[in-house]
Amino acid sequence: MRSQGDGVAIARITERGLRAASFALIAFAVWRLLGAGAAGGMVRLRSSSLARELPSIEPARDGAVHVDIDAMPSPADRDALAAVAHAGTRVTWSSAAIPPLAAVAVRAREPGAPVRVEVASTVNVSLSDGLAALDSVNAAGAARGASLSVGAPSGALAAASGAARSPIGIPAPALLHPVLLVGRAGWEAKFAAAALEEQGWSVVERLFVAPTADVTQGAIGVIDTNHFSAIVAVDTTLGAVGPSIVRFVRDGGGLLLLADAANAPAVRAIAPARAGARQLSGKHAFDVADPVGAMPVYPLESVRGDVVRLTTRGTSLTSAARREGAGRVLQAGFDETWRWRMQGGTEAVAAHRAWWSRMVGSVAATPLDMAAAAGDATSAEGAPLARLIGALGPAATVEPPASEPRRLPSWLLPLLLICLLAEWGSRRWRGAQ
Amino acid sequence: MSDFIFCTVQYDSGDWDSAPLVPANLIDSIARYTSISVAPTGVTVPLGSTELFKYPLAYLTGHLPVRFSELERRNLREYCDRGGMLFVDDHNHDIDGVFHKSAVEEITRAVGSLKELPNTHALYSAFFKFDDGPPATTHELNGWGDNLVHKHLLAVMRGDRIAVLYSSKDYSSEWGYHPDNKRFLSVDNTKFGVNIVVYALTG
Repeated sequence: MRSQGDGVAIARITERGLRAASFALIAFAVWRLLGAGAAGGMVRLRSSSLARELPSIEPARDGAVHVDIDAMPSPADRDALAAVAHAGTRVTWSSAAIPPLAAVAVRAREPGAPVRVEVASTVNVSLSDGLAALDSVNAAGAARGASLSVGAPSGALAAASGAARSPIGIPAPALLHPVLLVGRAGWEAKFAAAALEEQGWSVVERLFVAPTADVTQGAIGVIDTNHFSAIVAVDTTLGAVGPSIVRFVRDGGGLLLLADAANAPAVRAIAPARAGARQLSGKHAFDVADPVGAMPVYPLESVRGDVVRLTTRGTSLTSAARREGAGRVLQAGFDETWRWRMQGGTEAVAAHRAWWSRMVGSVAATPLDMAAAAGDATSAEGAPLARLIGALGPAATVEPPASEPRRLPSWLLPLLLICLLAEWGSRRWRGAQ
Repeated sequence: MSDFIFCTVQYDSGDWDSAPLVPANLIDSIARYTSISVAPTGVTVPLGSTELFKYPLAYLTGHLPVRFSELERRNLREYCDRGGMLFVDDHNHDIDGVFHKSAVEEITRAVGSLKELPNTHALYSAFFKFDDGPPATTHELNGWGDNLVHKHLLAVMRGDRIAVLYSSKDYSSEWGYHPDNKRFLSVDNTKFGVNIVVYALTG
């Protein structure tokens, strides 16, 4: 059984402990208020070492964080800084010179289409893939930037400009189904199919030769977006395919209407315009600069209000496009495009192929390869400086946040009060002053 | 949409105009059996002319030796590369004849070597069905020329497309009559000509 003397001794020891704890808490509070360990109350970090230093940031402790950008932070580090800012810590950043850079890769919806990189910057931009440097471009001179074909890049594609480096997501090649080509048997249909096939498209033809005879190349089967990417009509003869076209387009399929095909009753409801009277071109040669200028054309008339006007010849509209449901309709009034291939210059065959492929690709339905798309989305940066500004706001000059009150941890004062009261109560209990 | 225009090729050597009734007869058959928009008269175009490229199907025949000029060879090669199709018929029906020997040699120099066209080729079902391949001509069956019934036509291919179709069967004699006289035939012997045109327009 303890004696009263033992209890007094324990109380004295406890009081000494409480006094020591109180002094320690007061010293900690003074240390925090004076801002020891931080320059002017601000934690300064370098972006190149964010991965190592970010875990030590405590929003409750560190009132402000300033990042010196010596290398463009990774998306993960940038998002972590944004999270710190959202948790109540003031986050600012500055950089000596990070040029604005935006780069995005695009791939046409055509078979074997190369990857093109569209770049906008104020300085030189270099492109590289996983193997080596690919190219560089001075985008500063052109306000609209530059466009580079990089073929089929190997590994990660990136654009770099000074300290700015932007990983570029590579779009997956489009998944394309066959094209269904319909019309009367003739040179236009023949050479349209040839051009598309030579460009890598799979073409199924339904050509009308006689009232009781069609020439069919390939199996037509069901006409839907699971079997065809686009339907190409080279004239008004749509035959048995006609009734399926409107539903096909509304479900997401593409429709290309050449020459006067828009006047076919089966597509009149979804065509961008009515095809007017055929006009011959004044040109007799397919020059390189304007080969389509030599083609006869059915000008677009009675144009619907929701079309996008694409090309004109003089005052006549020659091509236009519109959306119909989930699909697209492109009407191009050009006729006898086959003459371009047969009668054009040395590059005419390739140019004719590319023209046809581009026209079909612009309307073709392409189901997304979801796995590839997801992979690209995580790596694509596009415009790293813009994203940094979006996450943290514009760059700031380095100043201590003077107006910001220096805050003590919320637990500190209550704990100090408890220690002091306990020490005072103990002394009162044992009758000391 | 432009009409189909039947084109006969004129070359510098030989008798390119040895079958003047064939174009009109084939034009009649195309109009008779199909809905292909066809011009009522054909054209004659020099092989060395750029005009040739306006007519992606062209017909060439003759009896005499054929010697193409360098310009004609170059034009023919370009024509076939761009997608044109040349139909050549030996008007002699004689593989030992001068037309056959010289024409095959020239075609080989200009475009490539001729190979036998399988009798299952799409040409034989492009419009009418010819299950046994190219139809025989009365000249073959009567023992004229080389006294052979040629089982196959020959062709130079560009990919899976016929660039030059070569016949030793003398269709130029078989089809060389006035279209009105078809009424005297139990079976129209120009039907295979329709197949050649339809194949060229769709193949």
